[in-house]
Amino acid sequence: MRIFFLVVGLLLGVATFLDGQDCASSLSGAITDEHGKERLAFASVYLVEAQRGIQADDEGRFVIEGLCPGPTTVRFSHIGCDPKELTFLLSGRDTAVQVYLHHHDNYTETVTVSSSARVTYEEQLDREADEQLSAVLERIAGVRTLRTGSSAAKPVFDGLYGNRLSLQNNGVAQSGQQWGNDHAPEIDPWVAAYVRVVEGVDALRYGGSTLGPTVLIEPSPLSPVSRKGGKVAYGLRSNGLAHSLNARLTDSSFVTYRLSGTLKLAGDLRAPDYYLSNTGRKEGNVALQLAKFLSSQWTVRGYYSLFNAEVGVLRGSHVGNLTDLREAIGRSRPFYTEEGFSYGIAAPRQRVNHHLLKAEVNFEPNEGEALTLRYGGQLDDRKEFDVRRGDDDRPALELLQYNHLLEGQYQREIGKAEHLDAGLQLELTDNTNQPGTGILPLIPDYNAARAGGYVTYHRKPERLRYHVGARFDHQYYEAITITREPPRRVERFEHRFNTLGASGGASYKLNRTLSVDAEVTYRQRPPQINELYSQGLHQGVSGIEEGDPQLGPEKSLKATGGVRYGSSGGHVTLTASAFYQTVDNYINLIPTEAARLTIRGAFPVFAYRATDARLVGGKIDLLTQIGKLDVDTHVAYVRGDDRGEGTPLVYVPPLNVRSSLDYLVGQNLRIGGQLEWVARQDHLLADQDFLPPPPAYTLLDLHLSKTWRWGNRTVTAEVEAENLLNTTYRDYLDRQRYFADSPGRSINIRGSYSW
Amino acid sequence: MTRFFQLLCCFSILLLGCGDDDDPVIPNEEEVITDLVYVLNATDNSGGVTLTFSDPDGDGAQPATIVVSDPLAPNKTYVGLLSLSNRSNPADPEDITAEIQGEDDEHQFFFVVEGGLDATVAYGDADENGNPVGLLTELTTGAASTGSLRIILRHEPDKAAGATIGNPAPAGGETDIEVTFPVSIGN
Repeated sequence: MRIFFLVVGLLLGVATFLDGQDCASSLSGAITDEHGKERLAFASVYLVEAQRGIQADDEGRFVIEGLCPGPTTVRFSHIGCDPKELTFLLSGRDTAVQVYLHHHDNYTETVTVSSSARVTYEEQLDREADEQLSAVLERIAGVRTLRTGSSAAKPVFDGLYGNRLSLQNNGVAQSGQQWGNDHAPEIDPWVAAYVRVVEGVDALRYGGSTLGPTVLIEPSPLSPVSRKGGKVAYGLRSNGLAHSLNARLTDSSFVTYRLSGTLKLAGDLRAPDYYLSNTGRKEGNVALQLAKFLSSQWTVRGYYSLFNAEVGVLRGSHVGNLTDLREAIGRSRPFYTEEGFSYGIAAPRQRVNHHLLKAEVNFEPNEGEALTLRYGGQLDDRKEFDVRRGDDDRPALELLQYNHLLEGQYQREIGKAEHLDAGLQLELTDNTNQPGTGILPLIPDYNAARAGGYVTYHRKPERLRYHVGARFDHQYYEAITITREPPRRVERFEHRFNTLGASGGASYKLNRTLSVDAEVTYRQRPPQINELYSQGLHQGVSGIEEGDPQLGPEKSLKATGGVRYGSSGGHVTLTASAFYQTVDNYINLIPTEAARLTIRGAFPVFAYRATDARLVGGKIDLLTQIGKLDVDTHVAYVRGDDRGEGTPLVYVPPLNVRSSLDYLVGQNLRIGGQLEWVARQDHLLADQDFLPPPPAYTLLDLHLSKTWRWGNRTVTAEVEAENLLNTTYRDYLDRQRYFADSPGRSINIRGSYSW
Repeated sequence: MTRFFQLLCCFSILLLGCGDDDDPVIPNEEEVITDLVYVLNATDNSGGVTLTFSDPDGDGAQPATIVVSDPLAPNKTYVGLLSLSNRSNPADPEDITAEIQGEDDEHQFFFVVEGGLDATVAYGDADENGNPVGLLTELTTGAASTGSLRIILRHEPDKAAGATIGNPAPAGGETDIEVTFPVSIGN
């Protein structure tokens, strides 16, 4: 199934000269992950012709001696990586190889053994990059999406989202979207080659607002062996008549670089029975990645990306007061539904420009020791246009946010099996509402500064592996608010929070195929500015939101336990885990008793209040490879409760099952399908929502792709049907479900050429 | 190592220097409507009644004031005139009525008689397409009774969708105003 090796083999010959006809050659090497960072301990190396195999050591190194000259096929495998065969033409000299293995999609092991890291890979991402990032993230077990129709999507992991889950774009906490669930992360999926979710000890090294889980979105790294090449890809989706085009080029002259550009144009999506008017999208993005390998000790890296998008919001979902909302909810098709298709984007709409600039210096004074100094700067310019009585072209909200991150990181390998990682971070944010909107801002202007540090320690001997870590942050805010009562005046408030995080975990390898692991994490999260100071009507949510400046940090304790089975041939991998999490001082947006009467009618008032919460859940991930057939199934379940009130938590994903099937015909033709079933969210009281949760639904996708190869050149063509049966459904985590059905069938065509 | 942290310190001082200390510009909320006045004058010049809704802090926590000057007289016809204004800045009140009049094809008022009040309201004006607006109305009272009158302003309603003066539901649109007055018809 999904592609396996990104880079395969860098061959380096040279050692001792030996007589060509003796069977005395050796093959030695090291097996690492594709980043070259993780050594794949105890990987299997199997000689196909000789029918014998050995196991690599705990550093991923191996030596096979007594080889005869001539072609030799070697099969490399490691739990969670796809086994791959390579053929070497042994010349009688000793041969050394460096093997870069690629973890299989969705496999759950990365840098450390027991933290639950979940991965999805470049080829997969590349194939689906004309979709939104959220669709790709959902391939990871335990990840669901909280969305506002097609306009915004945010990941939910183990029931946590928004301020409790941070997004790291290329190692820098994505800024500009800490508030409001109707704001999508400003990231181009074409640039993202790896998407992972980490928590526990591995998540301690990342800043950002989180109670543990962190989504890492990374481009494919540039290395001294990065191949010169490029790729052009085009995709057409029938639903929304969406065109997307991406071109990228990797080369090295004075520096190694990769340049990527993306254009997207999409019109109104269509639910099975009607058009979702004003759901078009326009996007134009560029990214430039640079690396200069000055010496074996010094490396300098740079990165710049610009994300530009204009996104339409379903016109029929834009309502005024509670009466409007009730009227809009009861309809068989949304208000303002047009009969025809259009690429036009009118109000309500959002326009976003996001710049990310990153510079990094890496110094490795000696083997196993590395120092990194990193700067990440972001500028987020967000404009939201509402349907308004005056000029629709004047934004109702315009925010400009500068964010600077400065980070120093020290990493050290102690001996063979120990790893130490420590760092200091400093982050500054300046958020300013731009004047001229004619509307009092919902979120005040603010300045924020955060200083933090972390230490993690991993020990990875063969059987019992463990890791521990801690972090501390000091967060400072200065909120600059405008009073609601006339005459208006400016007031300044300061807040300081100290937060702690600590985590420890261990895994024990019972035998070659079975291991168990457990992890306990304690995290504190300071309240964010929206939780402290939101003030006013949140358009599109039909509610007045009010922050509470008295709120303190959330305190979370999460215990995770899991079992991992990987059959010796790598054909069956089963991961099952369960968690129990309590959050004290859980900051929740809850309706207060009385609706507030304004001249626009009555509005419910939602206030940020602290309560105590409990989340319990589990997930199972089963990956089987039967010959050329890959079957990947995951199941995830979370139950959330408010311990204080004794009520269920809202926006917790219901039970869901996803199973995908992929079959390789010959070398180049691939047929696959996916079945997804999402249950009804029954753990909710009737008075907690305007509408009862939507019923369970099942979606079926099919795809067919063919690849042609000439040397380094590859042409790929693919046809895919999403929601093949044109099922009418609504998803509980979609805030637009009050107003409209989810999109119906889409037939997608994709083609790419790479060299 | 030492040099590394020295560098780190230098950089942080550099960054800390660029915080923003300017006060935000207090926006001029020109689209806000804070006050609604509905003046009813009896066609026989026997007197008038004024209904006033005022909430200068908008979404803020200060409650609105609702004043009905007098009871209506039974079995009379009144001409109703609506006027809207923005008094969020007490120093600079702003009239909104003319603005609504200028965009009257995008606006429609609704008058919902509720709670046993014996009265009917009819539109007295129309936009350029011949559809009702509601800045000018005619209210006819019946027998003595008490109840309420709800005045609604919808922005971008579908005027062709079959809504009536007392039932805005089919029209959709966004509610810019929805206020309820306790009204009585006395003897």
